[in-house]
Amino acid sequence: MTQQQLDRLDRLVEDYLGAVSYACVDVDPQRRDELIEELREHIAAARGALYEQTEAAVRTILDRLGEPAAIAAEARLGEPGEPVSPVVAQPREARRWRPSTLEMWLGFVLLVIVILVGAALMLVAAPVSPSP
Amino acid sequence: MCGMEAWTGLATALRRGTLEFCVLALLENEPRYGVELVTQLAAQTALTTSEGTLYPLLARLRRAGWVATTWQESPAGPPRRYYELTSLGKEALARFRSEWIAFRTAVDHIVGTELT
Repeated sequence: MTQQQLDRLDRLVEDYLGAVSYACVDVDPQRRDELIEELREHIAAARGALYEQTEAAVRTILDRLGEPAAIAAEARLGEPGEPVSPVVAQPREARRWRPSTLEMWLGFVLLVIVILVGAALMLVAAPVSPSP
Repeated sequence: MCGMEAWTGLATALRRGTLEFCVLALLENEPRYGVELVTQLAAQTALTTSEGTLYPLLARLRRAGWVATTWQESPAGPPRRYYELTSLGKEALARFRSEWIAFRTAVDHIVGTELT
């Protein structure tokens, strides 16, 4: 295996770690660095056990580590202010504002007040207006 | 809840809260290094998601004071970080064992999955 090929494999590893780091952008920086360091050690140990450094073998190690997003989701668990249960992303449609029962009642009450005030004003104004 | 997603969600929910104690149990008799630990967990397909997710979990166990790390020379390659159980971790594992038996028994009884 030439140095050039080894460099290529190292770059593969660094790209993967970069992707994990990017996915963990909202994780505490110290924890993120610690995580990247442990993943780097894992990859080094797994590569140390390889009979031959091939691209396929290194890709298998990275595939088994898994999707950067999944690792990031696990890293976010137990972060301050983060719920322990996974938050299922809701479709945009479901998140649109809908009036609550209280808001609908307030709207109704406001409407009644406007009608009553309007009627009162009309009664007050009626004697003043010229009759036909 | 219906379809494949619900079942994936169920597996995740069941794993959460139990996997960390499985890790503690694997460390009960001897310290292990990361690759060794994930290989053993990966042998139990029902327990694993991807190997990489184990490291944030180990970090949480370390912050809880249940697991400590030490460096040891390796026969091949660079020194390895070994994870070992602390006395607090041993207590946590013992507590989980009794909670788990009660939990498992209750669920088995109601769901009808008791071993005969």
